Amino acid sequence: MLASSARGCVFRLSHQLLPSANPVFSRLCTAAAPTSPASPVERLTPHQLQKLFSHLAPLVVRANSEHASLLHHRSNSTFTPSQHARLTQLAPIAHLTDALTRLHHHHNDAVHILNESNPSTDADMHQLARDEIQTLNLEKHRTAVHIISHLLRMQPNHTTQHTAAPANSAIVEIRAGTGGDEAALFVADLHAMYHKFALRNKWNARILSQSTTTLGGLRELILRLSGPAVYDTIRLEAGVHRVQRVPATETGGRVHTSTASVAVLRDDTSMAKRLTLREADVKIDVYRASGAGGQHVNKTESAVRATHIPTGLVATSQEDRSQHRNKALALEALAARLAAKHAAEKAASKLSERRAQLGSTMGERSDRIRTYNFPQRRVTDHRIVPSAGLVHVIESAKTLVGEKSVPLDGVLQGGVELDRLIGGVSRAQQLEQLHELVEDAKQLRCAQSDELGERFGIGLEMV
Amino acid sequence: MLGVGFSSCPWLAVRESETIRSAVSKATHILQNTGIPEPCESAEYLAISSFPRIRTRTEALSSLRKPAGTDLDRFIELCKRRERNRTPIQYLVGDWDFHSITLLVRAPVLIPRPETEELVELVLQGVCEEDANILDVGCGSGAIFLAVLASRPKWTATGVDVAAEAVHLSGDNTELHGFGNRVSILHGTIKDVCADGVFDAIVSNPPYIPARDMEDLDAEVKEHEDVRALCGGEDGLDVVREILEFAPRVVKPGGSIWLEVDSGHPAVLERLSFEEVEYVKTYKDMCGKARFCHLRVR
Repeated sequence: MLASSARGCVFRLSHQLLPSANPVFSRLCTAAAPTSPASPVERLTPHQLQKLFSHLAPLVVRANSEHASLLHHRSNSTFTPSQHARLTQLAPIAHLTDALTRLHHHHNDAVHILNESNPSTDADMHQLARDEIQTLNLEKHRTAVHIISHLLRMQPNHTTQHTAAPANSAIVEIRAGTGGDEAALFVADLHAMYHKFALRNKWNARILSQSTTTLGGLRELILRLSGPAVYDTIRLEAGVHRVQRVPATETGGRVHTSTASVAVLRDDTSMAKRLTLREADVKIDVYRASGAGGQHVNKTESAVRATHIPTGLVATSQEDRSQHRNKALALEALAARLAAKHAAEKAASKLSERRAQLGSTMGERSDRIRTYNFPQRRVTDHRIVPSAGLVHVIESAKTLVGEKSVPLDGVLQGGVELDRLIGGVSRAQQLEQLHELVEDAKQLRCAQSDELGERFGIGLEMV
Repeated sequence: MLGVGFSSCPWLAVRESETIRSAVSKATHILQNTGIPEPCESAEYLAISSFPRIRTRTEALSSLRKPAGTDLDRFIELCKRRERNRTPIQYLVGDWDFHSITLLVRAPVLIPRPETEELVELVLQGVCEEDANILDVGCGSGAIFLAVLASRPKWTATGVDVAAEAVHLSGDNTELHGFGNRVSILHGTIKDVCADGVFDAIVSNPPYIPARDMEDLDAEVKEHEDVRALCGGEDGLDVVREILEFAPRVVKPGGSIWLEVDSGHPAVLERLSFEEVEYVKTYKDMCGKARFCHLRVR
């Protein structure tokens, strides 16, 4: 009697309390999935996730106690806006932890019923219990993934932490490095690659400044890309790109190595609009040959270069047939570069002391991130390698990030091969962040006893 | 090149192009080899004119589309005219941008120069009346007064030019912009403008090239643009002097005269003394040359 009523009780309750039936929970889960679709956390097996979660449990405990403490103080008049923001940030973790705890209890109940029922005499009950456990396992898995995602999101060097500027516009600066004319030709190749990549993603691409060499190479090129999720994708291109090939100018057929550096800055278009350039600070040059000018000459050359004298920043415009419009465009581009520079400097000073993330918002880095090998027709991204410390926690980390080497031609066309490289770097970075979380948690573990972890009932036992 | 009979050979190769990009590239090389100035600009702008899906120079340089035969024919035709006659690119394209507007351009009316855009800016900043009425002497394509009116919705303008072609072209451009109810165009000189002192200001880009400089001009200018729009007499100041003489009759007292001139002229004008006109200031153009004169009717 007790068993059957207990049975009915368990099943009814678990159905009502399944997290996915809870509107708040659904909103939390579906609304802001903080990691990209290619997130490695979502690809973990239940066993791997359980192991990872148990490593991160102390952080969850800490987040919950911080949340509880803030809630307690919320009614005080001294509650600050930043405390309020922090509370908002922690709330999802608290809700998800509660949900996980409830799931855990129901899971235990279902396991109990499974053990108590006889598979031959009580086949239906046995099967129902099995199904229930299956469902609960899936829910627990999902919930744990979301908790970890929120923990990642809260890290100080996550891209959303730096600034309130929107992420749908970025300034990309490509400069020739070592290799003279050959490096300049490589800059032109990279420009073509990013232009095609932008077209494929339906982004807008505009040149803010360019300085060309006689051979059709580019010493320096500043691009503005705008569209959905531009910054988060393109920021991973920052660093030194290396090319190995026989230069166009080489007569002996020898392979040379040249470099180009890419820097990515956030483009704060609203700030750029509000920026007023002082006339005295700006020098305007037109690209016309000296001579009598005026009525004496008829040329279509209308390019304008604007230089901001205090900072040395340059912007050019040659897209328009009207020199007057090119001047306005060049000044607009200059304002964009200045605003981006200010924003980057502000962000750099706000960065925490944690180890700087790959593809940072700052200017050039000396790290070689990618090699484009023409003889082998392959591109290798050197960042798609998980660290040794992480492999300790997640054994399959290497397969999770994916291939680090892809065919060259597809990359240069800005095609899916470039997507694959960027995806691999993104996953490698997220795994690194996970690694940092695990390291953080280790330190907490010393301070917190495991008893606390057990009392919260966090864990994922799978049948 | 072997001789007159074979001079069309290189263009045959262009006719066989598989992509727009290669057609443009080949055309550029032909023009370059013939010694045509601005070979890249020529091929690219003419490509924009000929191939419907090509709207920018970058597209002309990169498009791998296969060109249609009729479009290729048009492209080659335009390039040949450029090659053989040194016809200005703008005349071949038929329209060009000036300041903030697009204008039709047609031989032999003077093609607006970038310096003149700065003259427009000076007028816009210098004339304060909300509903000013300005006189454009030697209006040519209508570039100056139309750019001004486009930025000042309440202003009105009169354009005057000695060339019938210019009168027609500025009329067409006025219609193109829908400014017919704000514009009058006269065929003649400043002397033919009624002397009622109705104008708040005069603006002019008069012919200012000294006679001795005329023969050194590029073929694009010398052989295609109206000499009446270019040559200002021996010292280049013939028309300027006429404007300054008759300005007091057509401009209100205190009204401005804005002129674009040759770089040696401001120094000359500053030193002259006029009874009814005073010299205010000289302005430089973006190349750093003394280019614009601001005078005032007393």
